[in-house]
Amino acid sequence: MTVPISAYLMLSVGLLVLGMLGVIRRRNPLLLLLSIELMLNAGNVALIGFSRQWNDPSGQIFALVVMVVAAAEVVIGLGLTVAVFRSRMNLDVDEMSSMKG
Amino acid sequence: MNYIVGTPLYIMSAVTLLAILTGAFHLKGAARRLPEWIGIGGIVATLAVVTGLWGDSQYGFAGEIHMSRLGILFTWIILVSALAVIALSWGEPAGAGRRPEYIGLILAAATGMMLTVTAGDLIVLFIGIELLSVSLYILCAIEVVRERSLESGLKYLITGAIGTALLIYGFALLYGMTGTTSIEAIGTTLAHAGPLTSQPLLIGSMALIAAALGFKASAVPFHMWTPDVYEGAPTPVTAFMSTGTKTAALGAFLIVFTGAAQGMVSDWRVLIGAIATASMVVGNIGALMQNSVKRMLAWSSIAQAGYLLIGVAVGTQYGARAVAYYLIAYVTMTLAAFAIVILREREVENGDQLVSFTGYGRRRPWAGVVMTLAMLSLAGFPPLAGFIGKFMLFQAAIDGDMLWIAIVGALASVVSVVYYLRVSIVMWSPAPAGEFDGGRRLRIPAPVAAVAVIGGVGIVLLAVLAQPVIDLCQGAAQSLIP
Repeated sequence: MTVPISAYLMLSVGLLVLGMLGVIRRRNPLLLLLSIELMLNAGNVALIGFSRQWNDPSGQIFALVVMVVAAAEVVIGLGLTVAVFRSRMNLDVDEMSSMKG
Repeated sequence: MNYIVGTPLYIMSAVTLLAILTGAFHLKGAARRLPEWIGIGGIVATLAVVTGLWGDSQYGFAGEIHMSRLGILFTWIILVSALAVIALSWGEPAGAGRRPEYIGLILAAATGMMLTVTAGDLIVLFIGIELLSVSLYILCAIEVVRERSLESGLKYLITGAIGTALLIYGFALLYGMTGTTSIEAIGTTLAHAGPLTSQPLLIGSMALIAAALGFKASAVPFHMWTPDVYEGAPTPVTAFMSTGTKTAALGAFLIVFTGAAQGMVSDWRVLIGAIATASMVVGNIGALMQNSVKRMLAWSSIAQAGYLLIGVAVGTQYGARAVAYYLIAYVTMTLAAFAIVILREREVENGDQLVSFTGYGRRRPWAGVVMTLAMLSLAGFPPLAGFIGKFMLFQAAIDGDMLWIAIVGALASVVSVVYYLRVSIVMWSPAPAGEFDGGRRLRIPAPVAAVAVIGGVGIVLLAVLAQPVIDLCQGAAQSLIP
């Protein structure tokens, strides 16, 4: 039995919406990074689903590349979070307002 | 398989690694400048190689690299601004003690930008955009002891990562609708795809890609991060973000929309046109209220992204030509303006505040002249380069039946005169008594002054010798839309 493409798409849209809600609701940089990771993986699910549908490997290659890039982004995000934490011992992006938008 | 086409990218990657590797050695005396010289040498070599590739489009590997004239022209702009940024960073306090990483990351970001504008495949386009973004996240935060620098890095990373997620999803949908990641093949498929309105997934992918690239180009409504990040980052890095990143993002806009999605231009032109209009309006109004020149330049870069997107929105060859010319002009005048801000920042505390420029032009007339030229050109005063660029953009809009966007652009330019001229007036007004008498008198780093002067001369030269430059841009635009 093959899983229809609509199932992949629904799963990925669900992940994307969850990630977006997290980005909007959460204020802790660690949880923000987690939510962004969810959004990136929503893209991966869609890519792999389409790759199956077209029977074409480039979607899977794309997903692998996305994973590597996401790992790099998270490493830098964690590094910066630790550095901010060291300098002020507080993690809330709303209180990061030494500059006003 | 043509591997030679990738040579500029190989050189830049090798030079990036070399510059970072110098950090493994304890360099003393003059050798401490080794990373800078490696970077300058690499960029000059890459400029020479890439110039040799100018001509008909060539494909590298299995079509993943597309060395078109447009890509080469944009690579020139990127490399020249990277070179200028290395010069602007001469003696930059932010890089003190970690010059190898600092220079290496600038080179890595430049490599990513080059990859973006010469991409022939969605995967390569994505890697390019990420390479430039990730390098810039670190560069923004490189001054770890300064809280604002860290804050700017983290803010850029979080907003940038949201943009990345949207970009991936947009690319995934585009791949799903066309079954290929090759940009050329996508163009062929989309040309026969029929009207966009009957295909919700295509509309979604176009909207997501426009939003994600809008994040990178700092276009409204994806601009919220720009003022804070630009203000908090070390000023040479800010200069690189507003020139290099903008060039790469506009290059990606042209490749994806004007190039690949040419067949459905009537469907997406409203979308891009709306982003352009919002950027011009919000950017210019935001810039009116700033007291820091650095922040003002950030808002101005949002507004300028709006002008540039007019050329994308019309989706014609004229539009692409105007974008290329205006980018060259914009990069020149922005680098000149940032060079003066950097000079002032090295001299006084809070040197980016508008008040600290009071009377600066009387003290250093050449700096005053360069800043005035840059401001007049950014505001679009004839006959400077900025005016010619804007004229070409508005002309392209009128030719492309988008008269309304040209009118919005012209009105927005009128508003922008207020805040650009304010800087010039402040520079030439009399200095407050006592200022400049006793205070610190630092020696100006020669490379920074050189960037300022070359930028000022460039603004005039681009206007005087406009025709040859426009011909180059025409060639580039033809490689995008025959």
